[in-house]
Amino acid sequence: MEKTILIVDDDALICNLLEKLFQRYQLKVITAFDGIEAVAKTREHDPDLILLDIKMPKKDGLTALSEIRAMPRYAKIPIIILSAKDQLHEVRAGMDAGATGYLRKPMTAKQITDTVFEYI
Amino acid sequence: MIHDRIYNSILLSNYVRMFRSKYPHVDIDDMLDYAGIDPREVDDPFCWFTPAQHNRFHERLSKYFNDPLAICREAGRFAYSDLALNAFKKFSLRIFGIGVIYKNIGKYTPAVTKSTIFRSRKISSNKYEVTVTRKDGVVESEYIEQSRRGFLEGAPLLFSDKTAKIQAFENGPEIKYIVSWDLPASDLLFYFKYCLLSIGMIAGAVAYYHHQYRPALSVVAAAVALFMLTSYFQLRFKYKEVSTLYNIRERSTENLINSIIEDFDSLKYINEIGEIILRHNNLDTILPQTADLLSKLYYPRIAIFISDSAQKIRLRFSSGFKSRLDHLRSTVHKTNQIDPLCKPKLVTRLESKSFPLELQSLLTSEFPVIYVPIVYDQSIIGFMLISPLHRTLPIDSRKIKFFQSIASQIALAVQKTSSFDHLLESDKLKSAFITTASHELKTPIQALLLALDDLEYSNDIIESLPLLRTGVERLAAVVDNILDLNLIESDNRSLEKQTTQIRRVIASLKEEMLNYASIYSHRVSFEVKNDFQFSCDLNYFQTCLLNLFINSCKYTPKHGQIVIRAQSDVGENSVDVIDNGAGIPKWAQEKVFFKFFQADNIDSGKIGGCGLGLSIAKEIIQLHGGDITLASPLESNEYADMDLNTRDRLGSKFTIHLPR
Repeated sequence: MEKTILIVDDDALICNLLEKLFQRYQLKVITAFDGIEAVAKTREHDPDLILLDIKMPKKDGLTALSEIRAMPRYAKIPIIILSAKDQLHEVRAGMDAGATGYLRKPMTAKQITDTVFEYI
Repeated sequence: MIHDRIYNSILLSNYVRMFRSKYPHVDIDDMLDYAGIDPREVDDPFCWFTPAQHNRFHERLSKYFNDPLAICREAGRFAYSDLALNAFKKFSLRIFGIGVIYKNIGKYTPAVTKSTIFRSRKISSNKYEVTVTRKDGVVESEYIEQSRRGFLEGAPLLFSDKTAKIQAFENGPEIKYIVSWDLPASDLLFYFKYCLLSIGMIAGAVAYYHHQYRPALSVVAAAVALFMLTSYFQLRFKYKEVSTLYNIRERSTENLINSIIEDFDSLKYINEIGEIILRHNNLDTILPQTADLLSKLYYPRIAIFISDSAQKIRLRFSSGFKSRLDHLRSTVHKTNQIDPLCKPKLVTRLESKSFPLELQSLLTSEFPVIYVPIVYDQSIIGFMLISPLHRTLPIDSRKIKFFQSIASQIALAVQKTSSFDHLLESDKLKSAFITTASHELKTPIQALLLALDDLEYSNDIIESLPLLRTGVERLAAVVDNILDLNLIESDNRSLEKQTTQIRRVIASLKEEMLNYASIYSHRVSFEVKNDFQFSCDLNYFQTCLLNLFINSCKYTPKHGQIVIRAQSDVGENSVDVIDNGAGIPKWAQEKVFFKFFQADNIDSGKIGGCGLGLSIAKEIIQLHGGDITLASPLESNEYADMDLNTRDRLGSKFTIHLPR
């Protein structure tokens, strides 16, 4: 069965590039540009993994993360944070909010895909 | 002239001796302190004082006496009482006679005063004329004149109760005094001595020539013996005089050495404090160590008040006082209550009412408190309250200088620590900037990495190259705007706000705007409907307005029109940037303020730039408490002279809303 991955990032270029990347691996890709869209599209498309950026307008990634985790259906869904926030306290905050993994931008394409396929 | 040292210490030490023996109610330390004189200097015969100090001393007399002028005259007369101590001295002077004092007055007065020259002329054996000539520039007070009179009339007091009579005639700088006295019986002794001698000589001659008068020789012997006896006592008197002078000189050398040692010790401590300041950057470390040093010098109680950044003086450190000082930590003392020129002074003695009320609680009778102002660059930055261990510890002019040195060291410490704090502050800002910069660069680089990977995979340059280009342009855009982004993204939102008029701000940007618009041959007009005052960080606000303007220029076809309008109504101030460009479709109107969004993402045709201008502008205004809104297309009836209503001239209006 085709796996679905939700990519959340306010930068359209990155979303675009990540979409192209994962389409190569025959994954269905949904994109969201802010926290509100992230929660809405999770409910709508039921992804198998979420790649989540933190700094976004309207609602940031950590808030969206806790909201998604609050939904019982998605309490265990793998959510990988992909963010430019690389300070130790920021990583801890992300993991404490319920992330499964944390990738610090910039990562090579191979590093991203390796991590994603660990959980899918 | 008033500060030239022309009066020998013997003049004032004469007063001091008189007070000690006849007027014990006088507080001598207070008198000398008021005159700015160290008590030890008064005993030093090599010390000279200024007319200013003498004036102050005489001024202070009225605190203790009803008739200060009479006291001065009495002091003049008292000068002879010292000579009257020794009975043999008195005897010898009697032999010489009072006239000798007036005869030699011109010889010994220069050792006492440099302000005047004394000359005397004998008129008769009990009358002398003394001429006193004041030197150039010398201004004498009435007090000095009275004490001089006392001195001139006092000589006969050595052997009688009556003073001499004086008549004074003033003629410019010269005063002639005619001094006359009643011949005392003492002069007879003088004649007696020489009668003895004469008798002796006659007796001797008689005895020599007539043997039967040999017994006369014994008379001669007796006379000569008596003569030699009196001469012996005269010599002894002279010897005593010389030895007293020698002892005084020796004592003053000792005093000199002691004061040098004390100065050296003071310097040593000042140096130590200087080293403490060098080693530490924090007032909270420096002040306690300074207090420790001072307590070693028997000043265990110290409270230091320093002004903070708002120019209010607060208690910064205290030790040794009982805890009652805690309540002072919250009180604030205004700087205008303190005179920057005032010297360290004992507060219990002098006008305590000039002391801030809250500090009065320190002035108990237990111990005196010394108040030391801390001055930097001729203005007050704080003050110290120091209290000695023992009540009797002298506070003299040397100690005062010492406290002043300590105060200036503390002033230096305050300057050093505040510079250091500034350094720390700017270090923090720098670190924050570096953090933000590296953070901002990570996203474009991530895009580049992904684009490169895509290229590698697809091997399709035509398709991948545009993505790469965009990635690099993004990176360039972030670098270009890194300073603005630092303001927006970092936690250190340090806006330097100032109040200004919108008319001035627009005027400051006019030239730049017109220059830029000429590239596109746009017509620009400026309308300030209402000139309003507002508060903003000037640099950032200018950036914001320019970004909006540049954006309008870029998205308006050539030969367009741009209007900058400022107005104030309905509870807010606003600035509009209106263009007759292509307009912005509804769906894109929110997105234009997103980072890196550019209209040519969708349409074809290069516009250039980086897509950050509008998002930065919006962030800047939001930081100021306002917002930017967009209206497009324009309502044509609002803009009479704008060329609108063609397919590609729908126009857009960006409005900066500023809070009142």
